[in-house]
Amino acid sequence: MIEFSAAYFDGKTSAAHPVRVSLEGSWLRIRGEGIALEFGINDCQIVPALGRTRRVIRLPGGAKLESEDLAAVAELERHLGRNLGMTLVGRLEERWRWVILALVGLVLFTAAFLRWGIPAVAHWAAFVTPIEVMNPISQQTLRVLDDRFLQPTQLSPSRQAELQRLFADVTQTIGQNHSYSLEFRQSDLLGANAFALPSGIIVLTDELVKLAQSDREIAGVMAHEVGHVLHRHSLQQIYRSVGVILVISVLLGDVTSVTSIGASLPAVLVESGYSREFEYEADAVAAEYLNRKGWGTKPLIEILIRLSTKVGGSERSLLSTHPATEDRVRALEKLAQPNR
Amino acid sequence: MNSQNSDLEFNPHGLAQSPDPASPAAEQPKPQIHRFQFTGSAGEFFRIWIVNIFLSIVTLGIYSAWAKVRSRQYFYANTVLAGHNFEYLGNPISILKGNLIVGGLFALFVLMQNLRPELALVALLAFFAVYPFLVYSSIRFLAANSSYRGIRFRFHGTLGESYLIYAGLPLLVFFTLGLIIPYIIFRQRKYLFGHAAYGTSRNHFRGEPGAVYAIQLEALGIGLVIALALGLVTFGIFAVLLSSEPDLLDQGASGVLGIAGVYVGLILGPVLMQQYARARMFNYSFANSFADGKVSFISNLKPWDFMWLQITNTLAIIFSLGLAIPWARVRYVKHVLAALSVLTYGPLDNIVAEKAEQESALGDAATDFFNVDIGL
Repeated sequence: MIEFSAAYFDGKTSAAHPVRVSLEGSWLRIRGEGIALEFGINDCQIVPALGRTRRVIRLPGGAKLESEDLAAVAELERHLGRNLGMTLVGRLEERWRWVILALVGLVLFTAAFLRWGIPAVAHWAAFVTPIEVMNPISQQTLRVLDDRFLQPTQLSPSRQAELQRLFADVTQTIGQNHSYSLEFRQSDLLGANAFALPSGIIVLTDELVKLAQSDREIAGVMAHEVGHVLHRHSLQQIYRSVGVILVISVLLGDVTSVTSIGASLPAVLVESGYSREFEYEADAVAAEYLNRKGWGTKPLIEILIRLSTKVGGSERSLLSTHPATEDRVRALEKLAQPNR
Repeated sequence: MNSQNSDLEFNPHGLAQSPDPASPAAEQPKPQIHRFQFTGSAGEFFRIWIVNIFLSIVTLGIYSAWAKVRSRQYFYANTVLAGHNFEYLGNPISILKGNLIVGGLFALFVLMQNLRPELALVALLAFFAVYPFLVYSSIRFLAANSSYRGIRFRFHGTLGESYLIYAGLPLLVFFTLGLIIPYIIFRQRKYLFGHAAYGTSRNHFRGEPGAVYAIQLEALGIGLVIALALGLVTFGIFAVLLSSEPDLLDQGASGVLGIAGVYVGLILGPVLMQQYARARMFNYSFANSFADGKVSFISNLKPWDFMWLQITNTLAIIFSLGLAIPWARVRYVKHVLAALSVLTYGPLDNIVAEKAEQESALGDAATDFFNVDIGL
């Protein structure tokens, strides 16, 4: 028979009554000075154990028992088959070896989730989102860029028309029925650069057009940007950052809040790793186009190298966030299939 | 620095019971003094804490509601007064619901920030519009789920007053050049302490705005001195380091030094000043709390010790990459509880419970998520 000492509180006044508690059949008997109570054990809730703190049993009607006899209450719990999950949690908390394992598991799980879980969810979410959602934000972004960094193009109308024809070929070859448009801008600030807005607007700077030594190189850059649009990288990026922030807030939920600097710093680090991955994906799309044309990946490689040497100079470029050019070049060389 | 405070702080002052602020000491000249004891340990809490985070992550955040309850329970259950410990009664399921709503809204907000920046501003304004409600409901939730000797604490402040002091008065800060800030602090303190109750027995707060002005002014003065001293020391260190390179000084490096000094002073000065003010306000709030002529408090948290505690805790957390958090929290609670004692003018046995209401955990989840400092 399970029997133990406890303090009984009736839930109506703050008085503590010393009592003896015993389990008899399915009844919890409570006996003390002027106290003789019986409760059906199924109406009593045993609060899960926590460290070496006193055990609490909640009784019907707001009354409770508090006991220092941890072993007896644990036996009662086991006997009744209650709190199985939380008892397991308690075991974990008890032993340093489990705690160290949990710490290692925590790090591994978080890393794996950031590496594979979030990208997978973001990829799925990006492709179920109607792409029209991105139209207003694309317009908005282009307006902001126009205000701050970009000036009207200085390219001659005939050169523009030439490049538009080239662009049409790129999008027809690998564009997969998406709608695209090509814009030209001059930019002192961004220098030789190109970027894609999620709705399919692709912007080339005059400086990039001048830097290119052949139209094949420009076509490679265009195809790279089309790759960003096709893979919905902007949208994926947005979903990924939402995911990272949520993970970090769970991780640090017990530590600090999402509003603190502590939470945003790791988010930035993780996200910069993600953007590198997107560049490789876009390069692969560009390689596909160039290979189909039978040009090999050389044109894109050459302009990439020229861009990266330029970054070292006075011109600052958005391309500086791109992965080390050497690595990209190596990847592109592997993708080349010159005579297909 | 205030992230480790939220677990415990509500229960000690909630203990304050209520009416007849007249003259508690006059009737029963011999009060009994009770000291708080904290029976928990950093090692034990560390293990609970790690398992909490591990299970929260592995269950994709679901367990975090249980984790919160468990760590609060740990601090409550280890806080012992007059032979009995406190108990946290929060229900994980209702906290989970609150977490899901807050998490969902936050995800929506981040999405909007990216997709429709102009609407995100509206969302931000909406947050500030509901902020006083969140504060109000989180105080109610915390009070209703804190118990001692089987009797729950209560909070009787009104929603209207919350809007006045957490939204209305703060709007005046700009127009009064900040002079109203100590008054707002006073009102928030009065709101929290003056409406707390233990069962049917209510607490009364007899503080005055004047005293809060004095405390804040003193803290401001100390903050300025610290800022100036730290700024000068930083400047000095850099100046000595660079004096061997006179060329650098010529090239405007001295200007950079000056700026570095100003920055260090500007950041650390206010932070330390806040800690100083916090300790003083803690003492003042308890010294002016009386419950029903049955209970009063003595609190002598030493401001400089408290500041040192916070500095060393923060450094320990930074240099341990966060692993010292459980240790810092336990240390914080022990330090604060050691400074607090309760005077009772009669038996603690006959305090009567008040009918409990169901409180929503939404405000609790939100204030926790955004690290709102409602306490001390």
